[in-house]
Amino acid sequence: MMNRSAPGISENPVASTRNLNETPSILIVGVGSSHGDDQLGWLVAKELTRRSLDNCEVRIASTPIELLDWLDQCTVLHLVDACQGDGVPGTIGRWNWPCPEIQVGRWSGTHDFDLSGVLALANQLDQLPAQVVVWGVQRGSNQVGDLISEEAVNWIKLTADKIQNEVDAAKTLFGKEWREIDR
Amino acid sequence: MIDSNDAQRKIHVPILTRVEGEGSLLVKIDGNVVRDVQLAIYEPPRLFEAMLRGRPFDDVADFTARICGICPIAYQMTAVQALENAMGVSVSPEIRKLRRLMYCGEWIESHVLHMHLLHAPDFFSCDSGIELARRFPDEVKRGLRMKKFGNRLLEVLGGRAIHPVNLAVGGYYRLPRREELAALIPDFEWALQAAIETAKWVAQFPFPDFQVNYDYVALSHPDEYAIIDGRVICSDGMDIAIEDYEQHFVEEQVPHSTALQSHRIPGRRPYFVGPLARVNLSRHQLSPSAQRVADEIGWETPCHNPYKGIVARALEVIHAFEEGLEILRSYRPTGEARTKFEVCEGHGTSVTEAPRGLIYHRYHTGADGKIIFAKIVPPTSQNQAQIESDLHRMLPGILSSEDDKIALQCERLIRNYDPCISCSTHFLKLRIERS
Repeated sequence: MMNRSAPGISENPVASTRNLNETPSILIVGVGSSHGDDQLGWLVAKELTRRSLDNCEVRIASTPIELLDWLDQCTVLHLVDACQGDGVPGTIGRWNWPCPEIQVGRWSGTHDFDLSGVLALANQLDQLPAQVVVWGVQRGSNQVGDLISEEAVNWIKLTADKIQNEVDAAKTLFGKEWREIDR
Repeated sequence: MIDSNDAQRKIHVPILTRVEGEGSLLVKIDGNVVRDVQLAIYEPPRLFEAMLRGRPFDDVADFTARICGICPIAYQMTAVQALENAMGVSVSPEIRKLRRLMYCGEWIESHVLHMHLLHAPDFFSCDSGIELARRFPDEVKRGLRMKKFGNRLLEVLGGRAIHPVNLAVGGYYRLPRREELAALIPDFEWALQAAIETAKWVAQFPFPDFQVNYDYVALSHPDEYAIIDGRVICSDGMDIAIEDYEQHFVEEQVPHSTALQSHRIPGRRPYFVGPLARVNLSRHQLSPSAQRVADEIGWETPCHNPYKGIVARALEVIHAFEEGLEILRSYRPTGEARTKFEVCEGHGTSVTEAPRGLIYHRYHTGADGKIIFAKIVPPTSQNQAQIESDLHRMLPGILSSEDDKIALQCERLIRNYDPCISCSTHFLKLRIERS
């Protein structure tokens, strides 16, 4: 019989920096896949996991609909995803959802539930936290099977820095409120 | 988009929404006669069977899980069982029970998602799950919470809910700890009641009057509601061993589709697989609560209305939570996670009941454990011919309708089957040609 170390359970994609029994306040979700620059969302999430941000739960998702399982009791949601637009690759966008820039797209099969559709559904069901921030990184290469492009590797830290700055600033600026949320 | 001229009308519906994957439908109408109906899947063939050739047998579960993000367990489970049969591997009763539990998790997440976000909107003329959520927020919230618990179970048993990684030839790579499963019990207790309420809700939906006496095909097991093994039976009396599947069913290439279509042989008859087939053939083996609810809602067996497949799914969700709960409560990790075995050359087959219906795998392994041959027959390939047949039957009655209304009715009928076009080879585009 071939040997193989037990995979998976100890390598759960849930990359949490908190005790799982605690109530999360900030949820950061990297959305993406393993192909080309579409990995950006995942890699930013992994970078933030390494930084062990207090009171943050960091997860990765292959499909936006996975979000619906994770929204309980989170008070701020940060979503980071690679995006395709007219901008220069590497441009980092930040939007407070809902916003005109992020429209509800087509509602198709569950393979195709897009991020805006999932957010609209969660909003309809009053399951979204008070603040939803969407970070979009303009991607370059996105061919199936590609490695992430060399330039995109640099965008990971930049995007993670921006998200961390926002999380840290919120704690500093609204420390009193934050403690109240913690209780 | 509708193009019209005196001789011919063409209607293009660019996306058939709320199905899994992409494909298209062509309907040719000559006056008042439906000349042809072609469910076309134009996705490039995914060539999974060819990819598996030459690879170690232990790779198969991980590769086949990638066929579908919604029902990866079905592919993995069928694959590992076929490989176990090829190499003469038996698993312990405890492992078998854990595998049924794992499959229950997949039925829950797949069924609940289809019912609430893809299928239920049809019965209330809602364009999407978002619109349905506006009208029925409590019901949709309840559904999504049930789905969450199905996913949680898969995370515990499979390491993660999407493309799990813990299932292995011979068992599992790691057995869950008792407390990991016991922690799910309160959620499953809530969910069992939620599933009962959901079944009563969907049973009241306004169902179109459409009856077809199908050839229902499903697994059957003498001792339980068949999920992962048994014999393949049909409502017409056919009762065969899994190893004989290919003597009774054939996959054929059709010119209009990159996916193969299955028929019964002889006679090239279409057949029906999925929850409605399973409940029709094995209702007496559903869990006590599922049977009680079936009685309460006046479920008649057999039910020949494919639109009521959503009720069959709801009954199976009750069953999955109830059986799941029983296993969660009784689970004690004992024995090896994985049966020891010698790699050898062999031929093996397996059939399990994917959420959408029966799935068949056959493998030939070499003495070195590498895959020499692989064959995978997904449920949607098996239902395709029946979907075309249903459309042939339905269309004459609605030909006087406007083309966009015909398109909508076709989409609704197709969604009864919860087709996973991604599995079978993704959008369904509809074109109607009238002359």
